[in-house]
Amino acid sequence: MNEPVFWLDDKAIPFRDGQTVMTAVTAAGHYIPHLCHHPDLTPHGSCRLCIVQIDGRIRAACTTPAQANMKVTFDTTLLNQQRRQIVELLFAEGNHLCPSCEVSGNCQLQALAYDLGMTHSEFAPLYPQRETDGSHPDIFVDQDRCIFCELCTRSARELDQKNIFGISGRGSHTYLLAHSDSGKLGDTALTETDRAAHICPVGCLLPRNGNYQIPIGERLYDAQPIHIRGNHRPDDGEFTP
Amino acid sequence: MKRSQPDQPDTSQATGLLSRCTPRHEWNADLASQWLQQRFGRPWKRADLLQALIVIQHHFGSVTPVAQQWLAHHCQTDRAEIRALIHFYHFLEEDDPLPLRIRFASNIIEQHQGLQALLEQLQHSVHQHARVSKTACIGLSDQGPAALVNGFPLTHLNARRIEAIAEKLQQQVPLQEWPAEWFRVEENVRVAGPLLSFHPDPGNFIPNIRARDPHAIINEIKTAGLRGRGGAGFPTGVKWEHCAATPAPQRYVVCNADEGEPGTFKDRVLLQRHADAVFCGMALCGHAIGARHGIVYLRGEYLFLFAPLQQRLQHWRTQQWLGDHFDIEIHLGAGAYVCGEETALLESVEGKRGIPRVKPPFPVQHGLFGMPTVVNNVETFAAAAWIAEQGADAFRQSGTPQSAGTHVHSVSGDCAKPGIYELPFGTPLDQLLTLCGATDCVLVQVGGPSGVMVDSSGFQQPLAHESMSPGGSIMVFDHSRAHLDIARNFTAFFKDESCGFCTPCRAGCQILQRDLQQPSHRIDTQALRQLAQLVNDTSHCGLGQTAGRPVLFWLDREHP
Ligand SMILES: Cc1cc2nc3c(=O)[nH]c(=O)nc-3n(C[C@H](O)[C@H](O)[C@H](O)COP(=O)(O)O)c2cc1C
Ligand code: SF4
Ligand code: SF4
Ligand code: SF4
Repeated sequence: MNEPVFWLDDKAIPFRDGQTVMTAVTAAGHYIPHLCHHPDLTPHGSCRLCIVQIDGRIRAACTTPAQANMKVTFDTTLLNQQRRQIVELLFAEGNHLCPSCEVSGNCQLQALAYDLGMTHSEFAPLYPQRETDGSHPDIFVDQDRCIFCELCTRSARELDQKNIFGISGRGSHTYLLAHSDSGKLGDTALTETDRAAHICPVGCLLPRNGNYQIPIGERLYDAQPIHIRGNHRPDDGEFTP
Repeated sequence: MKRSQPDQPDTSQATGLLSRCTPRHEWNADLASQWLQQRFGRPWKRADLLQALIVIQHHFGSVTPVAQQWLAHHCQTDRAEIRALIHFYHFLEEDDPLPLRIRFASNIIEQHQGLQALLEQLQHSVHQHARVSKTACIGLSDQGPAALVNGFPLTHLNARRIEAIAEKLQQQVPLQEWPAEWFRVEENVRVAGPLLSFHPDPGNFIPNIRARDPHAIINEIKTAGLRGRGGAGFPTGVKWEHCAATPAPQRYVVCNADEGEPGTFKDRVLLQRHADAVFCGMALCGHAIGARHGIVYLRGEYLFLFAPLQQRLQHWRTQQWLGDHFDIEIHLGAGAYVCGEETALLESVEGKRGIPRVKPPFPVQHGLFGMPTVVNNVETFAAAAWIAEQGADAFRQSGTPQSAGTHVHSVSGDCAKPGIYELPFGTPLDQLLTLCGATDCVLVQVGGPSGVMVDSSGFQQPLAHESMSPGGSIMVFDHSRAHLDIARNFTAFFKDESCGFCTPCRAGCQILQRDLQQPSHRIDTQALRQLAQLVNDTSHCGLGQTAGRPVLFWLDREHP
């Protein structure tokens, strides 16, 4: 029996029932830019980097169920420009000073910026005022770099079976919260060995140990771009420098 | 039927309903328990948290840290979870309250009516007695400038009225002793068609429909060609059919009375005058799809309708028009436009932040608490009840083949007779403009900020789904209004109301709003156009997908 396929530009992508465009494309060995998607977690659809065009409408590949013979437009000048602009929006709405950032070279946001050809941000920065939280012995929180992807909230709930992180506020006041009466991460049940402690794609949730151990020039995305290496962290067990 | 009259003697305090006459108290856990018991009439749980917060806020003026701790303990959660809700809904607050909280409606209509001067006048005279700020449209654009005081509407504001209000505040006169006429909410029905003349007798209606075959009801709604009145125009019969066809132990009927689209107030008037018709429509849907639970999601801005609607439902129960077969409860919103989006609304009913879900699955498959759910607009339910009583053929007598029936328009802005106009679908816009006395009309915003801006080249167009989807709001602007000011006001609205879930809307609206504030000659129109298009194209829900429109309409007209 023939396996059903859909089309990613001119490539035939086989898929199984229940797969999304993202999971099928990834399984077929191709890369769609993304930040909030993780193969072990429920799809989220918030970063909007995985935009593709289906039937003339732009949709997120990570939340769109695969369907037989569907035509998915992926690699166009306009879509690539829009992906780059979405990354630029993320830079503009946080406070990202890459040269002084612990995760520079290991950061998925920065790696995608390179990959999508971002040379500067078209958008003047918004300079938000956000808090840091140093209450936890092993994990430091620097919200200036949070992109609200909720990988931390989902991994804590789904993989660690704990309620540690959440997102609150709304719109321009959106912020990361720690689920405790004090609102401090140190008062939650997060431990250094939790998956949630090692999933942040940027430099917002920082393990206190291990930073700067890999010299600049040998970090994750120094050698290979993210569309080849994939979305990883040095401490996710899949990286050898 | 009984109409809501805010100036009637108030009996609601005794029944535990949220009323203007509720005095503010210092935090007291025993009182809190008692009021929550009265509100729910049963033990309450985590899913009731948002409703509980609204009750606490109403009685104590805010949800202070002690109150948060108490609630967290009751729901076996942490304070962060409570604060996450408070920080999402505009009307919930955690700071020590002042005796009064006043919010001025700040839609473009009120802005043009001089809201800023009134707000500043009040702010200067009463800062120690009241916290004064702005909020989005409160559904009173036909009788503004308007404001909410402790959640209850003050209409027809002007400098003299503000002076009088300041005096009451300085003398610390309690709210229940303020003149009732200040709180009068007019219906302003200018043209009534079949729907606004419809007063079904539930005593006949309910037994009649319960004797009918559910499939036949759905077929009749389909034959009538009824399409949703909440903006998108989805065929109502098809929606009900899908919901009925999804196997499940339980189903829900939800009435979307969030009416957040600025300039819209038709649902308010329907709930003021035709609550029975709306409840009949919900009961009809319940019978057709096999649901026993109905929920009205009433926007927080319409708190003044909560007590009369609750009392009406109580009457329905005593008459056994509601009961084990089908019952209706009211959930209040708390100031969040995005909660009008059907899946955000369901999240809010579940007591969470109103973040739109991923679709598919659609609510008819996976809705409230995961059960198949029909979400329809207030007017849609009233029209469905009308069809059940008068028949599909009668319904199709008016309107166009693709847009059957009549539609209720809320008209505001630069016209002699703002208010409510019920007209057949297909009526040309300029006919409505003549009716409302818009003699010097340059621009018309059809369907609110998320709709379309029309200039004289489009005035001949019919108001129908197949041309410009009318939504419910018509805002009229004369030659004295600057298009850029309108675009600024609408863009600021979207920025304030973005839920913050997805990047393009959350970050994009902030940048659109900021860059639009510049003097017009300094605006980089090409960059702005690109960003507005990006927000529209790539956002997760309907809010972001239309948030760039005001900018684009302004650019198209003034910088083509
Ligand atoms: C941001 C946003 C706000 C909305 N607000 C409302 C509203 O206040 N009332 C309403 O009936 N529909 C609103 N809608 C549309 C609803 O999602 C939904 O389509 C509607 O309630 C379905 O009812 P209908 O088929 O009867 O129109 C809104 C949609 C979006 C995207
Ligand atoms: S988190 Fe990434 S993008 Fe942000 S400053 Fe650090 S390296 Fe740069
Ligand atoms: S802390 Fe990191 S993982 Fe969590 S939402 Fe922010 S960016 Fe995402
Ligand atoms: S488009 Fe705006 S309102 Fe809708 S999910 Fe995204 S951020 Fe929230």
